[in-house]
Amino acid sequence: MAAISKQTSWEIQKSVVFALFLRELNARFGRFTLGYLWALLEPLFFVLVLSFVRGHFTGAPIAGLPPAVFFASGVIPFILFRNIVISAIAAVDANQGLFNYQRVKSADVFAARLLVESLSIAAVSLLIFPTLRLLKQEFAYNSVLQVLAVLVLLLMFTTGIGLIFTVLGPLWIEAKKVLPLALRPLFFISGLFFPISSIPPGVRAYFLWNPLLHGLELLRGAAFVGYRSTEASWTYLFWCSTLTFAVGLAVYRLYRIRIVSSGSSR
Amino acid sequence: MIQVQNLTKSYRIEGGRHYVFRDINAVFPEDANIGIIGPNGGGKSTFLRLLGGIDHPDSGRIISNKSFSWPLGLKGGFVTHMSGRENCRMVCNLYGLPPGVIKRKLEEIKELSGIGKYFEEPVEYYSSGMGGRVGFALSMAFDFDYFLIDEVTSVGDAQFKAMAKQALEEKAKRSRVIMVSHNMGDLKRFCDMAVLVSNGGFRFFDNLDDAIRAYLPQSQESKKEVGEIIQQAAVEEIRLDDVKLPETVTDHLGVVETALASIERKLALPNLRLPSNEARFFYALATAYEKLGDQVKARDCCQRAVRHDPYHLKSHLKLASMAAHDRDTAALQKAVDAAEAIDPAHPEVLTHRMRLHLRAGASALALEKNDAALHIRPQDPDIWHLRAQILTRINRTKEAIEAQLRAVHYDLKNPARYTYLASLLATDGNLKTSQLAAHKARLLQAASSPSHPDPSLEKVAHQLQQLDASMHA
Repeated sequence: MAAISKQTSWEIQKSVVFALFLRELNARFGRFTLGYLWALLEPLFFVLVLSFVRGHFTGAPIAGLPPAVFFASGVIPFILFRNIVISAIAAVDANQGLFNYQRVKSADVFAARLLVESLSIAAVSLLIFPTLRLLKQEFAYNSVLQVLAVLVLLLMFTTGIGLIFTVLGPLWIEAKKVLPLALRPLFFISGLFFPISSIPPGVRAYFLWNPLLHGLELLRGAAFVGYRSTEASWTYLFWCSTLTFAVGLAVYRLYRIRIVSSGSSR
Repeated sequence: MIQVQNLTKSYRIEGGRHYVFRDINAVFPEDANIGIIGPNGGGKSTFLRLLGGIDHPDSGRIISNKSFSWPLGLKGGFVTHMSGRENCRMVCNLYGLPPGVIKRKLEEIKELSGIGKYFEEPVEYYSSGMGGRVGFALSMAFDFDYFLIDEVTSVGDAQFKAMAKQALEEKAKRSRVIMVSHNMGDLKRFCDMAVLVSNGGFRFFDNLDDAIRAYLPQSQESKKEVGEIIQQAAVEEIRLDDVKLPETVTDHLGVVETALASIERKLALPNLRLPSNEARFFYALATAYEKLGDQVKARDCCQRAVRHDPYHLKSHLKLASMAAHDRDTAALQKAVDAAEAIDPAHPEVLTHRMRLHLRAGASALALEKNDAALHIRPQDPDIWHLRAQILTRINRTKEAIEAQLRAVHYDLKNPARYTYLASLLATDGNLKTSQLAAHKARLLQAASSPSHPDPSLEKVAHQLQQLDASMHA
């Protein structure tokens, strides 16, 4: 082992994120097998409920996709977004024990969480979609590159919001109550269970303010042949994500000391 | 080198800010073990946290190119739902140890912390001090330039302290300590120089004794704390002015004398009416005599108590323990037989029976009784002490030492425990530690000499007055 004072920043960063990643894995999946099951069950549950509400597994296609496929492709990325953002609010308070070690910063905790959630949701996707295919749901994969591009933009957006919430959590005592509440409507307006084309034209313009709606629509278009979204805009998603990401980084940079410092304003 | 530059740190309090440090500048000498002393709330722990980089100043900075451990505190700073092992593995990962090394280090940590199977349990189940021990052991896995120690050495028993000292000595080639402690003995043991942190300023002392002398007079905030420090200092051989007997003590002595005289006068009267429960009366009187150190009268009173009530268990037990103390096997046998007839499962009955077995050479039987007694009273130093004696008899010295360490742990102020520990350690060939234990025993004996009055005196005085009042002549 190199002497501790001789380690480079990069070595330190690598070790820290790796250690926290292992810990996160252990916390989510280590103690009981239900951890794995739950990661799979939650999206499945939503997909099943929504499919039945919509009239059976084999109901009429939604914008060219079988309902189950349509719902799954909306629910899975949304769960990723929600899990990361919600856990970010408590990232500092819930991990005080970790900040006993000077090299752990709140962004590391966040990064480890992001990694675990992303990998877990990727695994779930790799399980669910081929299964749907086996169940004779008719759809065809489109472009891997485009899917990756949307995912990168969505992750940037998520990271931006997550970092902002990481800072808000400890500085604003009501954050734990208010922010989750504020996020709730997103479940209904982000196109999880309807395409943009089904929104009445009068209010459609307002719905289109929501970058998540763009993201989910673009993701479906990128993933599946035949799904065409005329209104979702790459440009809009790109700017929203880049801006949110930049603001998130800036806010974190400005407040990173305040949020872990004792005796700071609260 | 550690340089403190324009350091300011404050906390928000009701209606304003409390400044712990205001614009402080200081340079810490190179290559020294530094003790930090000062009143509570003076900023000792805050300074340690700032040094360790886990808290941040309002303004100014601490400049150093050295690596610091995290502050080793009482709680250990762990993630509570993870086991000790999981926490330690995580920290090893944090500091980039390769997997093979981690595996080895984890066993070392378990060994050094001395918490045994608790290492595999979630940290939330740890009793106070265990977390600190694991945290300390864990930090020893790394080569920090400075170990920041926040009171952690005070949690351990003698065994842990010795191990901590040894572990730090092994590190001494390339590491130094900076420690906060209220225990002046610990500071003297570990540090070369001291910093007095109070009133938002630092004062450096090249010598621990000077620092303690400068600090003690200003720490009047709580009389009790000063008392504790003086007591500790006395035990740890730091010279202080002689302590005068407080007036309250002399008062109580007066009361005791008057009450005893009155009781003895009345007992000699022919038409004396004792309180209705004679056995209990004589037992109480025996307790008082025992506390005052008059064994003959205490035994006499106990015998009168059992004459009045042959089934008074406590009196039989007291007779037994006095007989055991005088090594009077016949009397012990008699008392234990009587007590056993009343309650064969009483832990003290078991203990005395154990003693008798031991004297008769029946070690196996004694060990059996000992197991039973420990089951009822797992923290009784007497039972552990006897266990050590039994185990020595059957040549299981290592286990005997372990048992005796428990006896010491549960009865830290009793020199007899240390003396026996010393003899066991010497048998085992561990002469250095044996010397330490013997020395500790001598110090404790000195501390319990008549100039240090027994705090139970007040109780005895009160008890005697009551007894006196309950007698009617």
